[in-house]
Parts: sequence; C-alpha cells; structure tokens
Amino acid sequence: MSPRALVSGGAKAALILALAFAIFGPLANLVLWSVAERWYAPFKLPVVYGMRYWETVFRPTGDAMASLGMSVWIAVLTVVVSLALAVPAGYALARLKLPLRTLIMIAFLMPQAFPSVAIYINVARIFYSLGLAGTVTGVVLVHVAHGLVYSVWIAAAAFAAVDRDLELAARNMGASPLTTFFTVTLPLAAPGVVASAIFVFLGRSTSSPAPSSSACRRSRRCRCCSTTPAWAATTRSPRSRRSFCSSRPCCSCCSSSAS
Amino acid sequence: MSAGAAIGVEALDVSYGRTPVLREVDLTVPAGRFVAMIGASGCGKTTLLRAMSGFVAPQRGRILLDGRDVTAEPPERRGMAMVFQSYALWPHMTVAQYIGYGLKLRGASRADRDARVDAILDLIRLPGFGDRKVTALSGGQRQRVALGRALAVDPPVLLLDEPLSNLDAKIRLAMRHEIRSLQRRLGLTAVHVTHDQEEAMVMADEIVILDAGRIVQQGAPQDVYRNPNSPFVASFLGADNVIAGVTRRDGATTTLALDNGASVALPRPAAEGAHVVHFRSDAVRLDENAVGDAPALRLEGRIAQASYPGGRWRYEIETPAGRFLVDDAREAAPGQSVRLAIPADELHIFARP
Repeated sequence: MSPRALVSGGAKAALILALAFAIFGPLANLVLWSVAERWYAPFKLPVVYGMRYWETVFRPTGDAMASLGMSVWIAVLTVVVSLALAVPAGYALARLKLPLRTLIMIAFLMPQAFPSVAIYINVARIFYSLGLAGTVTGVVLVHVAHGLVYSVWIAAAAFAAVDRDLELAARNMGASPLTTFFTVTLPLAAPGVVASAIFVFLGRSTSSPAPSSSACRRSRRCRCCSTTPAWAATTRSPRSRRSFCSSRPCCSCCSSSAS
Repeated sequence: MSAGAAIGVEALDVSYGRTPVLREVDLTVPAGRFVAMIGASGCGKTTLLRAMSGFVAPQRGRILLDGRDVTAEPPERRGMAMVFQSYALWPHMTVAQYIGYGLKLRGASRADRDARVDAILDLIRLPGFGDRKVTALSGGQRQRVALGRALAVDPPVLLLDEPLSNLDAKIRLAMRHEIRSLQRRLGLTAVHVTHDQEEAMVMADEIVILDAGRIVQQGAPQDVYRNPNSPFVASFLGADNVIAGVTRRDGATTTLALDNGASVALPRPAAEGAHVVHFRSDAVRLDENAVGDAPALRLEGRIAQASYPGGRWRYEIETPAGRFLVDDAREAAPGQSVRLAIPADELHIFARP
C-alpha cells in the first residue's frame, strides 16, 4: 500500500468510526445505564452491575410483555390507517388538479405547528365526549393525525416523482386508470410510500404526549396534568391543583396522582 | 399480424388553458402509410399526436379510426400504440414483463404471452433479453424495447413521438431504417413526430409540416422539398438563403430583377410585384460555367468565410444582394472573388407579404 492510499484509508476508517460512535454511542450508554446499579463520579464505568431494573420491568405483575404487544399492535394499525389515507391523498395531491392544493398541504402540517400538549388536551376532550378516550381506536386516530403530515407529504412527493409518461404508456397499452395505478404508479412510488410508513411507525414508537392524553384513563399517572402549562399557571396549591384537575375531563383519571 | 387502420382528423382545435395549440387541423392518414409530422418546437406536432392517442382532449373536432369516431374514447380503448420520446420503460419490470404487459391485460395465457414476447424480442433483434431489467439496457436497446412493447399488442396504428431524438447519431441512423422496415413488414399505419427534417424525409411516405398549430404543407417528401408553398416551409426545409426581387411579365416570360440589376428569366410564370426568393446553399454554383446556357441568376461576390463540414466546402459569400451560404466541392480561400450562378429552377419565389 502506498503512503497515500494508507492516509486516505485511515481517514475513511476514522470517518466510519466517528459515524458509528455518533449512532451507537448514545445507545451503548443507555444499555450501560440499564445494568448499572451503582455508578457515580469519579468512576468512568459503573461500580456495581446488576439486572435490577430489567427485573423490575419484566416482573410477573408488570405486564411489560402485554404492553409491548399492545404497542406493536397500535403501531401496525397506525401504519395501516395512515397508508390507507396517505396513498389516495398523496396521489390526489400529486396528480389531480386540485383547487387550494397548498392550503390542503398546510392543513396536514397544522397538528405539528402548535404545542402538542395544547392540541392533545383538546383532542382528549373531544375523544371523551365521543367515548374514544382510552381505546385503541382513539390512540390510533391520534397517532394517524399526528403522522399525516409525514405520510401525506412524503407520499405526494413520491407520486409526483413518477414520470407521467410511464402511466400514459400503461393507458396506451389498454390499462384502465385503476389498473395503471396498481401496476405502474404504486410500484414505482413504493419506496417513497414505504419511507412514509417508516416515519409513521417511528413517530408512533417515540411517542409524544399524544397517547398519554387519550389513553390516560388507563395510566396511573396523568401526564397532561403534570405537564400542561395551563396547570402550571393556575396551580399554586395542592387544593387548586385538585380543582383544576377535576375540572378537566382528561384528568379524571389522575386525581390520585394530583392529590 | 393486423393490417393498419386509417386515421382521420377533422377540424381539430386543442388548447392548453387559454393558449391555443392546434387550430382547425385536418389530416388524413391512409391505412398502412407512414406519415411524419415536422415543425419547430411548440408548433403543436406532439400535441396532435397526443390528441390522436387520447392523452389530450380536443376542444373541437373529431378523430376517426377507420371511420369510427374515437374522439370521446379513453386512450386504453383506441388501439393506438405509442412509443414515447422518454421510452416510458417501467423500471420495476423486466423486458419480458414490459413487453408482455399489454398481452396480460388482454387476458393472454402465460404460454401465449411467452411465445409472443419471444417473437417480439426476435423482431426487435434482442433475443434472450427477456429476463433483463429495463434499467440494464443501453439507449438503443431501450428504444427497441419501447417499440417492442407497442408492437406486442398488434396495434393497427403506431404513434412515434420523437423516438430517436435521445439516441447517438449512429444508432439513430440505423433505427430509422429498422422502424421503417418493421412498419412496412407489419403493414401498420404510422405517425411519426420529429423536428429532424432529414429523419422525416427518409422515413416517411408523406410529410406534414406544422407551424403555429396549423398544417402548412403536406405531401410526398420530394414534392414538398422541391415545391415549398411558403417562405416558412422553404426555410424549414433548408432553403434559407433569401434575396428580395421584383418580377415583371413580358409576354410569356416572367423576369425576376434584383435591386443591383441582376436578372433572370423564370421557368414558371409568376404574378408581377415584390417577391422574396429562397434558395438552398447546395443549389448555388461557384463555377459559372457549370450551369451552361440554362437561365440562372448570376451574382458577383467575395468569400467571407470558409469551413469544411465534410464532403464539400461551406462558404459564406458576401454579395451586393446580401450574404449567402454556399456549398461547393471546389476549395477557395477567404477573400477570393467569385462569380455565383443560381439555376432559375432552384429559386423558390414567394410574393412578399
């Protein structure tokens, strides 16, 4: 190997290492913390290792596996519902001459444009009145609404990127518009559609306050009560906190944690 | 193999939004003929082709296929197979899937489909390419696969939308003849759109020249080339040396006189008055004697520039009547004085508007 190749090879290896560290470093830290029972300065590594936290999570009464299963089930349902909406919506936005196209695109952005807690408290109120709070349907709907901006925008871009002539060639060969869509347009837009599905799936699993507000009837602690700025502003004493919480439908579940 | 079908276009108006693209276009393509439509960019030739295939809806007029009105039919029910300028290959399919697509839609059995695809692959001279991805092909091969897809369904009409414009010059020349001979062998009616005049003349039985959404001339290539009916067609077909002159009639003979005094007796009578005269660079003789006693327009000039594009020299010649391009086999140096002779029957004369 020439010295020059050695230098460029070394630079490449260093770059890959740096990238790997940026990706896996935080994850490694997380894993380390999960098995560190005692870890304090000035020690670079945990002092006492143990599986205490893992045992707590997976204790027989903890329902961890059931929760995980439920999470995956909700994630799958969310992806299915999002795709069912995003594929036709994306196609329509990319291909058809829609009036107010930009306005429609921006409408999907709305849930992301405001503080999520404020939005989800109101979602929760509506869902309570409809009896959807605390149900899988409710959680899925909240996730879908939240993820629509990704799924619709990415799907619209994917459909717009399919060359018009490719569809016309199928029509020209005798395919109806629907056949053309399923045999040519959708397969060609598939990478983009899959990308949007991944976004929705990830968005679901790194969940925001969204599910906790609509599912809080089941949870022991109420995140909407403990995190909302409205609560912080109105609540100075435990008593006013209690009264605030009982006035909020979403917080009826958390009187125990609020008191 | 099916025989071709006749295409009729009657008083067709097409516009995109408020911009008119085609106006009152009438065109008849007899069954089995190869017609090439040429014109500058934006003249409407591609729009006319797309209106025939059903991708563009006309505002007025009718499109007939063997006498049947197909104006309101969607593209999938017209049976006009189109080859796109972009080839429109589907990157998620193999060559065989691509060519067999139309057959599958028509409910052909797997065995029939395979046999037909193999036959088409032989026809387009790509045997054994069925399992390749379309993305793994060269430009010329892609072009042939696109053609194969169109031919697979036995179409009565083949529409070609500048199919050769993305190919290398050499492959383009070969493909002209391949497409032409396939069309003859299969007896298809073909409508070809191109901006390449030579391509149109070589391939077609008949050429149609469009300008600003109208058909301005139509006829056999040699007829249109020899007798352009307007200054536009003359320029478009290469007669773009222009001089101004005045014609006078004296009994049976018509004489064209230039401002500088040169004059020539015209072989055909023309109306008196101001005219523009178009002639081709290869019609001019640098050697006066080459035309002999035949009537010719004679001019004195000086060579301003010389270049050699191959075969013949190309000169830019400064004369009192203007600057002209002249092709001639003889070598001459810039600055040299020459005497030009343009045979009278090579002059295309049009009344000045």
